[in-house]
Amino acid sequence: MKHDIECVRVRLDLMAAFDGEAPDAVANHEAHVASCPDCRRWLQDLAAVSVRFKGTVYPESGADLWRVVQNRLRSSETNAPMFTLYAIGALCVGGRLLQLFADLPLPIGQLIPLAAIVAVLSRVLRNPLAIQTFAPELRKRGL
Amino acid sequence: MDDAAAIRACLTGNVDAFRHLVDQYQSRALAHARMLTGNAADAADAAQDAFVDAFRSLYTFDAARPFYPWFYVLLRNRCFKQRTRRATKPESSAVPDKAIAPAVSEEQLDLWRAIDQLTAEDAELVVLKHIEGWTYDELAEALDVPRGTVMSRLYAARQRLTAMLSGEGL
Repeated sequence: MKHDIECVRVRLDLMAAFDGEAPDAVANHEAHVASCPDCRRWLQDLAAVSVRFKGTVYPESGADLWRVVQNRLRSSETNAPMFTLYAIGALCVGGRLLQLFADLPLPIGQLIPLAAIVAVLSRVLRNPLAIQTFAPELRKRGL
Repeated sequence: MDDAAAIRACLTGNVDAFRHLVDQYQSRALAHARMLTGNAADAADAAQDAFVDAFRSLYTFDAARPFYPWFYVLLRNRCFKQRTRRATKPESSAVPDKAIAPAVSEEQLDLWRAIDQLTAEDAELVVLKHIEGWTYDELAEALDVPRGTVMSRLYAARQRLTAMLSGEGL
């Protein structure tokens, strides 16, 4: 077991060296590699896999995404600001009507339109670059 | 036109300049999206959404950096949303279609078949490392995990790919 843990530690260093991320690692582990046939074999496999990727390119998809993207950008250019304004306007009117006709306690009646406006704006201004992680349900599906 | 010029033109409101980026990266984006969604239709939708997101977020892009790693974060997010929303059944996906790409060699087909057998997490790491040539730091940033996690996952993913290629995992 101790041998396995040592091998994994060495291999992580060797992998980093192979990937050009830790140039000195090979020299540090020469003795281990010389005495460990499993690690030597692993190193050969790593090199072989890497060679197989040489010249690999992504297959042409035959798709033309530009037309769809262009149409969506053009339509959103004209629609998005108006949609946001309409949504905020409708929520303000709706909130005011609630205040007038529903017997809500005052702070709640005032907070409803404010919360709705914040919700609309946060959706419009959401950051698409916020990194998402693999959801557990995707993992369950083997993705 | 290069990426930087296209992005500058887009930022002045020229939508058509964005075509350069879509044409330049769509094959790569679709291949990655198919890997992450496991489904060609979802991949196309996710890639379109990601390009639209990219155009809208270009003002946040640091022009000193390459475009695709930045775009990949958008694409990845869209792929996850697509999978969660649709819950469509994965199909055998990453393998190039000989009818569309007849120039792909048998050896490359074997490689893509082996990648296709990996989980999306493994396939993503292996492809970004071996085909895109991303560094550990770039991978860590895009996947939002520590560098050490990238290394241990990559190590495991390569082990599994080696097993697939040698026929042990198939």
